[in-house]
Amino acid sequence: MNNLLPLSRPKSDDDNLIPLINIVFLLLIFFMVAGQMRAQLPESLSLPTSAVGIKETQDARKIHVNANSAILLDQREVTTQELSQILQQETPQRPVAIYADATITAVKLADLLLTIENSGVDKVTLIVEKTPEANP
Amino acid sequence: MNTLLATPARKKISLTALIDVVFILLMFFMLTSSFSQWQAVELAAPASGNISEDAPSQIVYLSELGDFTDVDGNQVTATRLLEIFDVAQSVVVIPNQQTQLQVLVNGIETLKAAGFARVTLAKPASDQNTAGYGN
Repeated sequence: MNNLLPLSRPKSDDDNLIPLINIVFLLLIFFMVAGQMRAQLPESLSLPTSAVGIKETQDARKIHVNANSAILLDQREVTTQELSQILQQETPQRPVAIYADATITAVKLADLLLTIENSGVDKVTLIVEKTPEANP
Repeated sequence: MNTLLATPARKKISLTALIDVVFILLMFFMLTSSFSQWQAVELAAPASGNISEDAPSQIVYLSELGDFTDVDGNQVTATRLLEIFDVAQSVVVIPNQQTQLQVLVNGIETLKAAGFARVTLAKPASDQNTAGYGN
């Protein structure tokens, strides 16, 4: 009869930690699978939200425009002339992705788009944050 | 001889070290991962010339508050635009100079949701009633 019962082993202090480790492992797996890792946006830049859009291009040249309408390329502030020169020097031309603050005005965006177009870039996308109701 | 080759007693690994590492990993992933999703909206650069002559002009103005107005200055809804415009053709949106990007994106979203597949952004107009497209 005694053989059917599990053998009792000496209790260890670590036994109390096992439920904790289980939960922590589950949390770890959740954050690893559900979260996305990407570069942080510059300060004072909050993207506009939209339900429509396509998948962002991974190899695009990233141009940030903060709330003060300053143009940032590789985390360095540039003027439209400098931006145009840098884009023209690039061969082959990469598509450009604009990460602009939601509060910039249409005239600022139009100036930037014209600069990019005049530099020979033919594909420009505006990056927006997907709104929750946009899920298929 | 056998006693000399006997396997050494197994050392029990403490779970405290394991949970330390797992906690650090958890903190790392919690702090670095983001749950917001980004997507791209394709933009055609604002036209500086005239609209192509072969296609009829489908122009709509977008005010600072996000209202659509036609070339005569009358306020129109997206549903009304569906009646007067051809969905197969491109719709040209001319925003006001002071229209904010979020309002502009909302306008494009409204038009695309209404059924217009091609929405083109044009050079902003300072005055809706007098500004001509690309002139």
